[in-house]
Amino acid sequence: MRGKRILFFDPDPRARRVAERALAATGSIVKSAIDVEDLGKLLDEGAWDLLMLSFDPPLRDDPSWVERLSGYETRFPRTKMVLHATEPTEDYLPLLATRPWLRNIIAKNEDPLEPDELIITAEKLLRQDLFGLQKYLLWGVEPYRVEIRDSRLKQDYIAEVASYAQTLGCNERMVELVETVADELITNAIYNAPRSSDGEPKYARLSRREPVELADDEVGQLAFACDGDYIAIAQIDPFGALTQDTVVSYLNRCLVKGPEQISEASGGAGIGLYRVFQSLSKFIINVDPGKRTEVICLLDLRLTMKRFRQAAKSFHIFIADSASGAGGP
Amino acid sequence: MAAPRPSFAIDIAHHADHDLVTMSGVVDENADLAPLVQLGTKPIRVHLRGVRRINSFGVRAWMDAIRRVPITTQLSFVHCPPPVVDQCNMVQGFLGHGKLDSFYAPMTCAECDEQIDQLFETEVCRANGGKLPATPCPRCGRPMEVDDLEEQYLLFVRDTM
Repeated sequence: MRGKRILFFDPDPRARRVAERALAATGSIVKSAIDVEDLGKLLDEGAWDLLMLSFDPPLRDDPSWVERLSGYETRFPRTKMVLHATEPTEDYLPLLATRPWLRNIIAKNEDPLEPDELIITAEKLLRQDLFGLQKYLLWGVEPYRVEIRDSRLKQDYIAEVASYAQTLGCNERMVELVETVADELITNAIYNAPRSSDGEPKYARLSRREPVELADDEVGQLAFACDGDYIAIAQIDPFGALTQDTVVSYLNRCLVKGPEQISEASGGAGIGLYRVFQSLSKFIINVDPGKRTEVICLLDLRLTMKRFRQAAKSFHIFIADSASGAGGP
Repeated sequence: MAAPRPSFAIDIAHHADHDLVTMSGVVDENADLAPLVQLGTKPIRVHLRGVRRINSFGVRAWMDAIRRVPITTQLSFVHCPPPVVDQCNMVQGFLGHGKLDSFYAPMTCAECDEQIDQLFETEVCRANGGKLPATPCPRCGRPMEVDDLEEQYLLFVRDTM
């Protein structure tokens, strides 16, 4: 976005090269820090519109840096922050619970960084144009859309997505991942998302064996598309009730094996979100509180299952600025 | 609209020395696992080759059912496909007091790209130091490798070593 100031930090010169080129292409003014001393000086220069920082040590573990980044968010609430990390998901997820400024984490795998993801993330944050799975796919891809209305039709909805994956030539294991993601997203749209007029969950405590037919103003949507590299599945609901705390606590509870893993408190098992997260490469949640939620799941079709398991996952929660008061994500 | 794939089915066969429970399809909110719980005291062998997927509610229903099998009843799981193995590795107590005797691993050949689900005995892997035994490719004869992180996929083998 023209005129915006972005500060990028990564000690890896290859990553800096990729990022400088990609981010400059957005029309923004980009400055790179080559080490933590340099980063410290540039942060002291004042407010940036966007910080894109390597979240590998020392920034991740050094308490003075953790404090500094927290303090920066307090001082400059309108500055957005995106971190990129080589650490496995299991290592950074627990940190999200104690560091609310950690909302956008880009996975850094063998390639230094994916320029597409840098540009999309930066533009979403700077323009506050958050919604739409097309942003993550090549131009021209038109998603298929299915209305989510009735729990008794769930198998039909899943069959639509599975059949699409089969048409793409996905193998049985990939189709199973696609079905898993679709199944949990549809269940979420029917049972967990709807709220009553006082904001309370409407159907969350019902057993998933109890049929639910959503009213016209509760109907959700499943969208899916593929651009050859990624298959994208998104669930949209008209409630915007999902919060960062809910997502992080559900994911973290499932990371630790034990009796707490399966929830007895809700009508489901409380592991749906985790199962979705385990099945994908990039997980994006867009929330306009009280109005709309969009959960986007991207599965990388280029990877073998082995590479998929090894690869880190990107995780993003974007919250509309108008609602956060303090300046958004 | 595309036709849904076959849903859950459960079949019980009574043998002289054990009951054989065969499950197939998707274990979800529509899966009725009651027949498993209603069996007597004979050893139960659960054949899971046909299970394609288990959703989050299915995990909960499954664990409720497994916990209701008396602890004194011998319970074993055979021909477990990758979706079941994944659950065993991810969810603590997924097998209850039962033991997993045999399972499929997704094998791939780097030479000729052949992909198969190969059946393995848990005991053989245990004797092999918690690793899969060598598997020659049925097409080109070269050694195949598991299309997953072997250490992660075989977590359940080491957990019970």
